Amino acid sequence: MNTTLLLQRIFDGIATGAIYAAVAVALVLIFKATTLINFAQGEMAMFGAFITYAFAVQSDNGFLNIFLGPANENIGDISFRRIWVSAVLAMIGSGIIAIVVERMLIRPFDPDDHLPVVLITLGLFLVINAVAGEIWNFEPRAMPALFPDGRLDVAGARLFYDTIGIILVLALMLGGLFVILGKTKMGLAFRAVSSNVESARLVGVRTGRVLGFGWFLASAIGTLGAVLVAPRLSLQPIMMGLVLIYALAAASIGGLDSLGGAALGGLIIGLTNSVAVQYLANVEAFKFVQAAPLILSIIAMLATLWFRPSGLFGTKRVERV
Amino acid sequence: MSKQALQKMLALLFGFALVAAACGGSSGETEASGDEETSESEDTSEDSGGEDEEVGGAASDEDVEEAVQAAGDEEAGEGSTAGSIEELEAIWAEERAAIVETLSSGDYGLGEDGILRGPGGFELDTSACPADWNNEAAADGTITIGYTIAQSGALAVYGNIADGLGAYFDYQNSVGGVGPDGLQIELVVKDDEYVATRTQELVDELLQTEDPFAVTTLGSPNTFSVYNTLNDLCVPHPHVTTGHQAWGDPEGHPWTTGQQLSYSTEALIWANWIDDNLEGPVTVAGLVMDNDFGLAYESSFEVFAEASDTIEEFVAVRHDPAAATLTNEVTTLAAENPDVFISMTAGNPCVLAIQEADRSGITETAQALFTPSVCKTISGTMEPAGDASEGWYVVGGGIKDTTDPQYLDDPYIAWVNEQVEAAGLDSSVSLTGDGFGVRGWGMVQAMLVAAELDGGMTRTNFILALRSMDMTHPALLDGIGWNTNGAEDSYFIEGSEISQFTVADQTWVQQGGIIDLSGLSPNCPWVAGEGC
Repeated sequence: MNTTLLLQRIFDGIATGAIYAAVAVALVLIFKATTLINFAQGEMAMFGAFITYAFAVQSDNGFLNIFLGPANENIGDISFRRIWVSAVLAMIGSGIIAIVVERMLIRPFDPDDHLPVVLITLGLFLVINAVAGEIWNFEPRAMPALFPDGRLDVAGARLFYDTIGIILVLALMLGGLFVILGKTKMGLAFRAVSSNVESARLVGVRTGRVLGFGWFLASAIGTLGAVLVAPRLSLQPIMMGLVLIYALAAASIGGLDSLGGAALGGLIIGLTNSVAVQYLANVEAFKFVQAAPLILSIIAMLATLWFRPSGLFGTKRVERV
Repeated sequence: MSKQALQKMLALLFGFALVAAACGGSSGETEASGDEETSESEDTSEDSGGEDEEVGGAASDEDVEEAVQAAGDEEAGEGSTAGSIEELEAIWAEERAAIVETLSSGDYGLGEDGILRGPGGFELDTSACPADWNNEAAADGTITIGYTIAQSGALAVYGNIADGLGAYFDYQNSVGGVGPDGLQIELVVKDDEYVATRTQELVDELLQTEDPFAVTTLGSPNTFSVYNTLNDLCVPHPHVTTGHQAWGDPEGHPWTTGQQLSYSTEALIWANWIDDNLEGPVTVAGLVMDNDFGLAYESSFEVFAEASDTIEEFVAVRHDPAAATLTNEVTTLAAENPDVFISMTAGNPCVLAIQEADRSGITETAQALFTPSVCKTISGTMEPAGDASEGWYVVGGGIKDTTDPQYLDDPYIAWVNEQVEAAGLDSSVSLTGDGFGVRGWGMVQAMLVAAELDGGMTRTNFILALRSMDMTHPALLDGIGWNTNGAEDSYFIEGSEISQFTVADQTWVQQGGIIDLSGLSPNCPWVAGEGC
């Protein structure tokens, strides 16, 4: 066996898995807050990445430049400070948009009746995609990177700085979420709402604010994930839509209410596609999987759900009889 | 909703997604491959080819070899048509008049026996058309053109072509419309998301609700999915936005015409360039979109590679048309240490292929890298790919990119960009310019000819015009013809330049002269499951 190739496939799996993990974590956050899947999560994240692009590349405002640093027409010469500050502004901006969406489109509906809300998120998916296409066109755009170019050569395999960077940011993001949700008053309220909305409301938790907070957090984190992966995928309206199905599989494998599980699920899907699919494709009878890598991801997801219906790290549902 | 219930729903959703992916993708796969892995999807498309088919619709290997060698010995031309837009208009009017004269002076046109006769032995029997078929579908003063195209999904970028095409029709309407009666052109665009089954549904919808004069489509699998339907219904299917060789079948599918360089010819030009410029043994890696489109390239190139003394091995890896990344596929190809890398893909994967080739190290070791003609767009592919796009070659089909700095002063390209802006569109988008300047111009010229023929703007006159065009296309490089000749020559563009991309200037630099294969591509009598 070519060990360099195997190592390269593992690095590839981690790199693409990190992309799926970033979106899966945001999906899980919304699920924890509302027990529903926000199918527009990827598109909201994509829109946030475009806001980052607008700040970092398209704006040259004297006032903004005080915070962002000098503008530059050449994308490769845009400073990391400008990109990171733009990303933070976009996270805040997209978080605020998410609060508005939650307040205007989600909250008016009965939280126990999920169908209308799921349909609304599907509608949002289409609307946000169309709006982004109208504003920025459907052409791909070069997105300034948040990490320097370059790579490590490990036994002949290439491990790029941006892959390491994405993993590190993902780890920091998860750490931050654990602190926010586990150690703060708002986090406690979030967990209470997540556990039982009615009970939380009865003990005085302002559930509306908490739900808004959940949407803000998910959107901000989704935006960060999209900004991280946009240089790899090319910034364009379809960018996250192509990732969403893998992210959903990742979240299901990890457990829909487990942040760490979602991240791990992303890596499992990434590695399945990069290692299992590619080697399986060497067998003539299974060559087809190379052009349909989703098949193995689905099998991995179904196998997980068959043996562990709550996912690898999800909370088992217990009902009093 | 309980978590378990939600997860069951998700599993179900994935199941549907899987089936949808299998159907959508495989309509392409099957049609061209016909192999075991894809044969299940034949029913999603009404016409299909075969992976083992001979290279059809392409000039002979000897002709291509000769033309490539001749072009390599030449200096690159100016690539620019001289003259103001008014002078060009006058030239086009003369050329159209010559075509009208030819078609009016002979035994051409729709006879009383119901047979449409044209030059080059072209014959079309309209007695086989449905009983309610209406030849005068533009009699109400409007020429309605239906267009199914991807405006969302992985190939959404091509949706810009429809914007440009619509803008050209609006321009034509504003300057008096078509023919002596000033017929107005209306474009009805439908988003098929590059899913063949969706194309079928949308074309059915168009036929039932709009009664279009003609319908055109984007994408090889999508076009295959309605190829027989539109021909059986005798609805013109002009200038489909795909270069599959199957569109050169004037006898079996007389109502359908392509326009751009056929993928099989393009593949042969790649192969001949490799033979001429590299020393063997050469390993060629092909990254292939797994549908009709990609497989047309793959099968054509494969035939040549097997006979080549220079090409020792051709390794092809197919990818899902809706893939989010191409990292894994390109890593597989990089492990073969290819001397040549050819991207046989389209849409969003155009950019990914270039970037992943760079990250995998192929760019550093390969002697040549080719991106396909459908990825030639500067603003849509080369610019977003960044520095990784340096030095890539293209067999570009002779089309001038309206955003390429070297053509911005070309009178026609400057006029196109001006009109695109006047229409409220963005002239910095290559494919909008393509829709306006390449496809809009071409479609309208055929309409203008048809409207001058005896009987005016009928469907049969439109087909007769399309099968008889011979004009100087202003968006093509000098030396590249834009012509057809009935049943003898059914391909409009049969020439190309070979260009190399320069990042610093964001421009394609032509290498050598024009590869002229005009009139040399034999027709492709397309048979489902067999190919040409």
